[in-house]
Amino acid sequence: MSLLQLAWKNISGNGLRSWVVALCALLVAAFALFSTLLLRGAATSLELAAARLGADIVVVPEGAQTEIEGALLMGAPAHFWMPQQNVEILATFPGVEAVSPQIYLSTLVGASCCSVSEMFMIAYDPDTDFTVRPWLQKQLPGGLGLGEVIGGDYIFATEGEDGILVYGTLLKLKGNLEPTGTGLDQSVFFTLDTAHEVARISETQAEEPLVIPPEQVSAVLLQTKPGSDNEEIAVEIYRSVPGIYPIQSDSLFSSSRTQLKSLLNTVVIIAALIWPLAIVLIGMVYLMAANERRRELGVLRALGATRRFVSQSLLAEASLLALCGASVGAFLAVLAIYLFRKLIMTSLGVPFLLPAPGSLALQIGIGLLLAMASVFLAALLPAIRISRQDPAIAMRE
Amino acid sequence: MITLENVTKDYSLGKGNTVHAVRGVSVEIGAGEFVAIVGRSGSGKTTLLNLAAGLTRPTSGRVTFDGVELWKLTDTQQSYLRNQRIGFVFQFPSLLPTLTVLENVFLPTTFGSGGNHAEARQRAQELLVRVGLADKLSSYPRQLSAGQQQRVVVARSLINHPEVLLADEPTSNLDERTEGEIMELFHDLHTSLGLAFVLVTHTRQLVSAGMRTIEMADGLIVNGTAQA
Amino acid sequence: MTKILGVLMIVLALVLAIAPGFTDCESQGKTLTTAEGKTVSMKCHWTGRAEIAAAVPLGLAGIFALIGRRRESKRFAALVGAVSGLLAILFATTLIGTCMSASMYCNVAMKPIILAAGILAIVVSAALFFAARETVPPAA
Repeated sequence: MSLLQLAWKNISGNGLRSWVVALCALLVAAFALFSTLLLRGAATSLELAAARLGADIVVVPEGAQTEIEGALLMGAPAHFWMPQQNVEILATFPGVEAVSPQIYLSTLVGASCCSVSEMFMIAYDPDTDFTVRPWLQKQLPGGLGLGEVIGGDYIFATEGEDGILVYGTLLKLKGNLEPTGTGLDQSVFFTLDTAHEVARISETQAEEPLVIPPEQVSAVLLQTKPGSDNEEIAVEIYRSVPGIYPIQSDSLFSSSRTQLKSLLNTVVIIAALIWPLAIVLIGMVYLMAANERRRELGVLRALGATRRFVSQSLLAEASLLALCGASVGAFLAVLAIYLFRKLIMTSLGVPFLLPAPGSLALQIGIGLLLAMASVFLAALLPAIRISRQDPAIAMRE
Repeated sequence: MITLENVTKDYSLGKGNTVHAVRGVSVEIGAGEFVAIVGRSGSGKTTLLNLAAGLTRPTSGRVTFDGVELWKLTDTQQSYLRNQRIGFVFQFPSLLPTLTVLENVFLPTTFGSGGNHAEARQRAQELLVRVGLADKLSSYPRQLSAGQQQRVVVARSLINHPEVLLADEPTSNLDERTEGEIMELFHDLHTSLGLAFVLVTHTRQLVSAGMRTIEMADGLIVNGTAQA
Repeated sequence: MTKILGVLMIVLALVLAIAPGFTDCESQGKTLTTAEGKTVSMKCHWTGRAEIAAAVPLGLAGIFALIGRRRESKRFAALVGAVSGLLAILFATTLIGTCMSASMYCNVAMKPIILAAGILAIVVSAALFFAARETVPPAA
């Protein structure tokens, strides 16, 4: 019988004590994994969404900063406008390589003319656009034509094979984008021409007409020349053009990033509190084991077990328990994150994307290792102490 | 075989209180002898046994096994010696509750030099047949009576072909009839295997002819011969 | 060990029976109105009702796991538990399902809870199957 087999048999027979240690390992692993998945998932999602925009600077009307963030992150429809001539003005700034306007619209709530309620719609200008086309190209080499849309991951056709009803116009859903974990997943993209067409038709076909204020745009996306100082350009724009606010893509999701940071801090504080507590608890459990199994371990020594064998068998028991508990904890954490991700996103207000299998495996591995190391550390001193006991004293009543 | 030279054992109870469990005892146990150590509880007989087995370190004096001084050995060497050459029968139930009867019997082979697993199982089985428990191989200790458990302990003590069996009040928890059975088993093993036996007991009734008796009181030998 | 698994099964059964009532769209105040003006419940509501049909055998299986003494009865309970878990998942996905839009509350909260309970019921039942042993009375 090997050391491990003996350890396994001892665990099966030791009821409550084993459960406590396994439970501690479970909680440590579950908490560690859950929080890393959450935080990494949110960070990745933000990076991806920012990259998808592709713009170095996004110019919106002054005061609309939070609204656009809400739209892009959570898919909450945004409505703001600024004069179209800003587009030409912005193009003249030194350091600005390309400009492209976008119009933000949304469908009505619960109206029969719109098959999807409160859907955020982004109309782009195919002639000047540089953000949508790159990722669009991969999916639709021909681009979007009149009356055609491409939707985020959550969008599906509700009318017929591939149609969505928007303000009374049947638009063709030509494809879906990869998920970003943000509100972009609940949005659709189409060209400005399509937008105007829908607005025209909606005057007769919809409960409320879609109004696109003439000569107005919602946002202007800027691409700066390589090597430029975006901050400098942004500051210059803010000073020179009235009524607008330029947002650099790094600070695009600033309120979410702050949210994420505070979430991270909360997690770290909780971890700093529970982790030592878990270790102390396990240490105490093992110390109690010292007394309960004192006699049994004394007998082992009498039968010829070395001190090393005794401490190793105790640590083997602890490690096996930790492995079992941590595995279950990891399973529960991944299950919870996967099934409840939407709920988490809406209640915490951060976007979230599940990691790729490789990254997931790595994070699980780290969570398991952390839990097992904790248990091992906690049991180390008690195990050594027990093994050093004088067998005769250990076996006394 | 086992020699104790002027050994003392003191236990400190704190606050300056010390218990002198054994005070300067010298005794020799020869190969193949059957020695009974008798005395009232508290006389130091259990401590003497523990000292002989190296289970506790003497405060002063020497303990040797076949000329080898026990406390000059490393923990590994000492443990090996115990594993291979000494068998134990304790007063309290000493089987591991999480192992079957068979597994309990070949447990000592786990600490030994490795050796053949199948061989160990085979020998364990034979020993259990020898002590009359052939049908209880897969049972767990809690399914056995106290007397049956002690018989398993005896089988376990023999697994590594020891030279001496140390028994500390092995029958004090048993009823009279079972006690007799166990003692009969001991005598049988003594004669057939030529094992040395050291039996600690507070009951003079267990002492029979052919046994060398050592009487202890208050940590000293008061009667009986110190040498074989 | 099997006792703890039995308790878990009972807890999961309670979750399956009770949770949908608080997390379907109807509990959030959303129902469908037909052309005649009648109010009808949406799919998710019926799924919630159906889950009770999965919860009851699961709960009974849990009780069996708690009080059962023979290995066969515990293994039988495990099988019933696994099938109930599977049924719970199927009700919420293919057999009845939930509302279409991904952002509706039944999809955000109710469905994940049911799926989690169903998956855990299957896992716990599997553990019970392998851990089932005869409960042996100690010797006199």
